[in-house]
Amino acid sequence: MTAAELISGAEFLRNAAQKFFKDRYQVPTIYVGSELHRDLGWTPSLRFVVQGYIHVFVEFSEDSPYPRILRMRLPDVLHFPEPIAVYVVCPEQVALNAANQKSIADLENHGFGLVTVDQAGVAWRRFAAVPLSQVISNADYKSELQGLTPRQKERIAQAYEDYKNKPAIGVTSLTEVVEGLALQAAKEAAKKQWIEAALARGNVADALDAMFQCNSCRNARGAIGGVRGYIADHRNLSHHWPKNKKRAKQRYTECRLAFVEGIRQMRNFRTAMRNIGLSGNLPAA
Amino acid sequence: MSEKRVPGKLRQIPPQHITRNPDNPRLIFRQQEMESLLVSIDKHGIQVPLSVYEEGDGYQLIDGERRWRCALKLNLSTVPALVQEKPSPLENLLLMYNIHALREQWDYYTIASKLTRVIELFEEEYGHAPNEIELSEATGLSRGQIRRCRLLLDLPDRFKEMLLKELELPKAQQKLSEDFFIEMERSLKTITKRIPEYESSLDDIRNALVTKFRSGMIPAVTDFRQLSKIATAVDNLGIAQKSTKKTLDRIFDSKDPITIREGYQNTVEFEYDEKKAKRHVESLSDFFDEVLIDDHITELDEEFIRLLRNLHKRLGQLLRRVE
Repeated sequence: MTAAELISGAEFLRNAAQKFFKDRYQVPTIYVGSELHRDLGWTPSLRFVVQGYIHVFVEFSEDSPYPRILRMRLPDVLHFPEPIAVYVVCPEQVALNAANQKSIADLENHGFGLVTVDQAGVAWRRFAAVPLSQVISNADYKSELQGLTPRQKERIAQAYEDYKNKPAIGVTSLTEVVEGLALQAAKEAAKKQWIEAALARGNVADALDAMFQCNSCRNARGAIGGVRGYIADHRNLSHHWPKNKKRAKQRYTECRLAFVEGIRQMRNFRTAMRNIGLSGNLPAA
Repeated sequence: MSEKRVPGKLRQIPPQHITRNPDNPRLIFRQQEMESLLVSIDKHGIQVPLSVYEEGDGYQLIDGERRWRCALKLNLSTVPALVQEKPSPLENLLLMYNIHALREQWDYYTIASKLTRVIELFEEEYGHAPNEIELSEATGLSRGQIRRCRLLLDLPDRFKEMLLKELELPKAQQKLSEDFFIEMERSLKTITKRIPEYESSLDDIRNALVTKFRSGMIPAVTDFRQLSKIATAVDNLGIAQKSTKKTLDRIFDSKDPITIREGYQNTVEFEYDEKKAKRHVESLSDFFDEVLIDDHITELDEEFIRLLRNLHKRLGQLLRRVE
């Protein structure tokens, strides 16, 4: 197998990148110019596996922080049955160039990582790559937040930070926010004597079941059932993370869907609660 | 020059079975042009087959290194390739020169790096070293391109290595370019022709100029043209060699902060401007003769007459001070 690169300035970047990734991830093997799978239609400059189940691709780029192969192959990477994270390695000057700042922001927003190499041939990580199947773009994230209160947005943002580092923990954090919203609604319903006060202080599933059954909440049953199911399905998502590559990829995809779904459930629940005369807010801090 | 080649057989070959031709003079592949080709191949496939010949268990490229590199990046299972007969070493090189001369411009170092080999192989095959015309016909390069290549070829090995190392860096990290060395060598040739005593210290001079360029004291490679003009001022402007040499000595001293532009301004710029003005005055004077002899006075437009009156006034002031 030949290791010919697309560009001729690659050797300088390769030397720095190999050292950097070897030191950072302590990986025993870094493949140079080697395919992962024929269907991907992409031979990355380097590739290796971390944590036993995430493939990390590294692509060298000498002029641009966002090489075209990334956009060309993003759909294939997303459909690949195993999780893949992608780093770009480019010269430091390229990353410092004002004209490239929009591309760098896009790169980060799309979940790719960036490593730059300075004049002395030393590599530095600008931001980390995440498995692309877990990426929620900033645009999607912001549009999902519409209609929520500043406090709710703040709590979701905290969960989103967790999500970016560890998606399953991010989903668990968001589930806790959803639970808070549900318990506050149950507390307000108990105050109005729609449900028993003891139920509002108990576990969230019982409180939601009580609300589901009470007549005053009949017009909000869809939203109550949705939140009830969401909490049941996702509160333990971070437990038992699979080590198998294919199942790990499924779990990343589940996390992305779960996080977006959690925000939607909150929005629907808030609207439904307000329609039946409750606040639809989180408990006071 | 080279005899007709037998047309090759078209085959589908895995790109991993092909190796690059070590004699390919093209060493530098830039991202922008490679990505355009990458997109095109991804959409339409490889439309023009590569040219290869059998070598050992695999194939070696004659033509199509950019397409081959793209095929590897896109992980194509096979590429179309015409399998040619193995060419002679000279044919191999000349084929690549001629194939590429029809397409995009190569970097000069790329061309120059293999030109010596072409000359050697030509000599082996034809019993004499090729002259500039023969070399131009064989390679498809213009004589001007060959001369520029020769400036790079004549560089001491240390500077050639310096240039190659620089060209291998990503473009954003390159400082020295082929143009830098070509312009520097041209000016140093002009200088040593006029002031031969610099010949013995040429390497030190090159070092100093590289240092000044790297530190930004020579902001543009075209500044070397001013360096040449300082040296030719001895012949062209009658400036004392002692004075120009003093300036050149300072420019060639890496510790002296003087730039080429400052040296030029301090020694010869005024004289060159004066020479230029003299040519304008002579041209104006010829025009006046034409106007007077052919009686075109009534045809002169008002704006021109106004400018002449103004010039007359300025000339009066100037000449009064001269006298």
